[in-house]
Amino acid sequence: MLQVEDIHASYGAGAVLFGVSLEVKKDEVVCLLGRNGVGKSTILKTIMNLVTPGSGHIRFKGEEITGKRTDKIAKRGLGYVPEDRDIFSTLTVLDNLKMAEVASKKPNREKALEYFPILRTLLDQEGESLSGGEQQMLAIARAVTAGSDLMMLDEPSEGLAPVIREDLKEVLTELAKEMPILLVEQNLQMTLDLANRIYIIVNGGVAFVGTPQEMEESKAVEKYLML
Amino acid sequence: MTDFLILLAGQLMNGFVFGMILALIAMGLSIIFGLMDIINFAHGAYYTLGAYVAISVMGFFDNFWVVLIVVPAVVMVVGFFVESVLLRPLYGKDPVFSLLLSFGVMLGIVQVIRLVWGVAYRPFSPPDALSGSVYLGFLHFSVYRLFVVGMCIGLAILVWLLLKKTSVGMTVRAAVDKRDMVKALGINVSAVFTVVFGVGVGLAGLAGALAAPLLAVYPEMGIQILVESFVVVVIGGMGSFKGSIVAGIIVGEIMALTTLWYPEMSHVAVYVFMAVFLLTRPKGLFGSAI
Ligand SMILES: Nc1ncnc2c1ncn2[C@@H]1O[C@H](COP(=O)(O)OP(=O)(O)OP(=O)(O)O)[C@@H](O)[C@H]1O
Ligand SMILES: [Mg+2]
Repeated sequence: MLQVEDIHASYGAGAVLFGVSLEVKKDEVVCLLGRNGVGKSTILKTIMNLVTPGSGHIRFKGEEITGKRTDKIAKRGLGYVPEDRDIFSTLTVLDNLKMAEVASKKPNREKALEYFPILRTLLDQEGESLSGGEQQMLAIARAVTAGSDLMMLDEPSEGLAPVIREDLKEVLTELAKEMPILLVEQNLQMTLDLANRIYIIVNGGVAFVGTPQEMEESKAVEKYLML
Repeated sequence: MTDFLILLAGQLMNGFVFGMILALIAMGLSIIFGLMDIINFAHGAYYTLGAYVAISVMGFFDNFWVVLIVVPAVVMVVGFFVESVLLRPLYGKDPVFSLLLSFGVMLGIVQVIRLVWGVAYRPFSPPDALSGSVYLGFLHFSVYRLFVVGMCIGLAILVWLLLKKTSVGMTVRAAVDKRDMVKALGINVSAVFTVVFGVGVGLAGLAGALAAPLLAVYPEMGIQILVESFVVVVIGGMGSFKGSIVAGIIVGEIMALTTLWYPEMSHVAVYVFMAVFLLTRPKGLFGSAI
């Protein structure tokens, strides 16, 4: 459903991605693992063309989206929950969700609120007044509201209390029944529980691809993830 | 009341009038900056253009109400053109480019004004229906100034409603905060840019038309007020609508009150206030929130 072929990307003079290729198939949860600063977030940003790829190809639902405008890529059905959540801090929770409806062909606010019922009680609150966990829920709810065909989430469990992390895992499990997911995740257990396939990113390239089982059987974790 | 209190009250009223005009200009300047990262040096030139177009429209139709509709419309169209043709290719490039372009647009507009309308000061009287003064119980105050205050308050409420109650306004507020995220939700931000830029400079043009009967009309009239509007934007907080209005009134009053005691210092006082204010609140009154 999503194919990334040999993309290179850089911030100004600093090259970050050196030929990354990966694929997310229908009904799949794909996880990107890797140490801090190896370029995981940049991969997602490049897919959204928030960072412009220097070379390479990105295809989504069979169509070339390389270098297309970010809003057009999103409209084609790519949902994105960025690393820093990017809640609209001056908008209410309700308006944050409504923002996802503006350009959506099949908005689904009800589904989003079913996943995170607590948000129903916060609808009139401004984004900036939410706790970190609530903001994370809102960021995901917003992406669900947009009614995407594939969801990319960048470290959604980061900074969450263990209890909320468990809730999040359930939501992602539910979400995975509806659409393929590309997940950046530092939490090894979460990755092992959710992923169908795992890519380990090292220094802007793919160092390992395989199922969670294959990863456990190989030395990949010690080699690429341990400090 | 003593003469002094009457004088003071009159000057406070004048400060409020000028403050509201500043607020009208600063609103556009501030939201354009917050949304598009553009320091619009030409903003004062659109204000000047508004004043001159007002003179011509008044000469042609002899009807101030027509002026109040035609002026913002004309200036807005100029703004649409500048944004979509000149500025758009520069988005995503170094902000220095759009800064230089705005500077060029400012010089261009002022030059066109000189060619079309000449360099001399132009008189512009308030319309008959709004001339004269009313007695407010303790002082006589110009009807036209009261009208300007009413218009500015009305426009501020209108802009506020547009920002708060419409879906375009919601998108603008979201994009001022997190522009990339708005794109990532499938919204074409550049269409929003065009609207905001056009409306923002249209408001500056309207401010020029409203100010024309109060302040001298000449080709460089926009320069001083641009600098003062920047001060308002900085004090109010970049990108903040509320801040533009509150800071506009503060700056208007500071200028009016220093004029009362020490006229030569009225412009300097504003900068001194800004410097001191920024030391205590570097982000301005309202940070980056609208
Ligand atoms: N806006 C930017 N400008 C310049 N360099 C950047 C920018 N964003 C990221 N980088 C650099 O690019 C490299 C990759 O960053 P990226 O955020 O993609 O890493 P990551 O794998 O997501 O890390 P983390 O696990 O900390 O989120 C890092 O060295 C980072 O310092
Ligand atoms: Mg990251």
